[in-house]
Amino acid sequence: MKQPVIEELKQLIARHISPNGVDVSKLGPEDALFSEEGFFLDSIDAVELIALLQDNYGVSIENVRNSRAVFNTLGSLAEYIEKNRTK
Amino acid sequence: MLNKNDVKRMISDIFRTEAARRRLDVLAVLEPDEEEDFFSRVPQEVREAAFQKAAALFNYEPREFSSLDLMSDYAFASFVQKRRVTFFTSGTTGEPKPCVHSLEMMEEEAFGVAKLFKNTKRVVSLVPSCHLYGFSFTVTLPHALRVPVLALPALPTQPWDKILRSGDLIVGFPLFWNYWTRMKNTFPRRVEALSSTAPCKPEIIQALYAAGVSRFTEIYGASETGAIAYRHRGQDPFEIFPFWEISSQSPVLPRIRRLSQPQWQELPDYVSLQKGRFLLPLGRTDDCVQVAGVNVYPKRVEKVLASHPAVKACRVRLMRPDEGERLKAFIVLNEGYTPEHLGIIRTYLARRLTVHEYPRSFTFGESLPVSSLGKDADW
Repeated sequence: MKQPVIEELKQLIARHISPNGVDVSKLGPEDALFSEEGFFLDSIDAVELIALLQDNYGVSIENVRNSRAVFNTLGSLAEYIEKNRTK
Repeated sequence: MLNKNDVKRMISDIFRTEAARRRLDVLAVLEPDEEEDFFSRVPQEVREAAFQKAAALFNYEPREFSSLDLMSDYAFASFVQKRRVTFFTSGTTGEPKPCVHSLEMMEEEAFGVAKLFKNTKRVVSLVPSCHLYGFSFTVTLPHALRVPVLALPALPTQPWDKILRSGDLIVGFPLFWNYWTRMKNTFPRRVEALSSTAPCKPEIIQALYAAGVSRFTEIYGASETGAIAYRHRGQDPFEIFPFWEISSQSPVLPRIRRLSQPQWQELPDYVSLQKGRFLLPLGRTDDCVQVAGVNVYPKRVEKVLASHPAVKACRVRLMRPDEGERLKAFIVLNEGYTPEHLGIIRTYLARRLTVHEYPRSFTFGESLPVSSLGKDADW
């Protein structure tokens, strides 16, 4: 069930956020969203990612402190979306 | 104009923005502020940089502190003695340029601007108080208005219907207001919005009024000058605040002077001066562009990029609107290097550039793009 969300997320990130030079197709659920070895997103991207979650899945992040673990990896984010999506 | 709690918040903001800037804690700037907790867990690299920045801001010799309280006490004492704060702006060269704001200047601006916001009962801050815009509108202005401040992260998905109340003035920036309208947030009655650091698109301003903002104010200013002028509708000219004198000897590059200060200064933009005290910016006088509301200098980024051994030549510019709103880079590689080496170039840049300066897109070519007339061309 998780695989389609992971692939969707990768495409969303590649299309809307990811810097050219990060080959998103080679990244997977264990890869960190904010590290150089992973998606290499920054604080500006983080807000765009949060906005995309609301736009595409109806998932609202109201407090980042309570949601830090959600943003560890692509997999942790996908799992959170599966549990909380309204779209 | 400034108390110890303000200083504590400013220092806390320095720590958070440094952590995010260095990518050591990207989410730090999006968390609600629990200051001492963050101070104690921040990496050493961030701590050292923050000690330096706070010292520069509050005008004392850099030193280490074991707690946020001790650091705030020291910085506040320095402010009381020196009666000034110093902000820094980087220019084309990348060398930080000090912009001193004396207590006299702060009071002049805060009380001058306060006349616009007489009905404000609380300031809701979404901007870092360690930068001039945040300092002016979320530290000194609330003192002039005698109202409290609620400092929040600039997260557009917070429960605004529960947070905001009548009489609030939300201090934001263009990218945040863009997200506000995208999230279809609305305003409770009698809530005002403020924006600065970069132009806010007229359609966004219009959308904010449609969402129920009682009044939107856009501030035009610069690190060197502070707030210069304001307007409430996109496309309207900005009205110059009364605490400025303006010399119109040059119609497109007038000089301005604070009533309390002797020195004249130039505006950061070419402007069209109208009816003596209204201006319309026409374009920057330097190569500065805005990324997510922060001034960046593509030439400085080029210089950093060109310093990498893999890079023979490069260009950096702002993306076209259809591409995005970040910087992009074109690279001609030295012999022995291929686009496969982009990873090491990225790592090199990430260590030396802020997140706003970091190019979002890299294109490689045999030679720099030029037009048929030999001028730099887009790609």
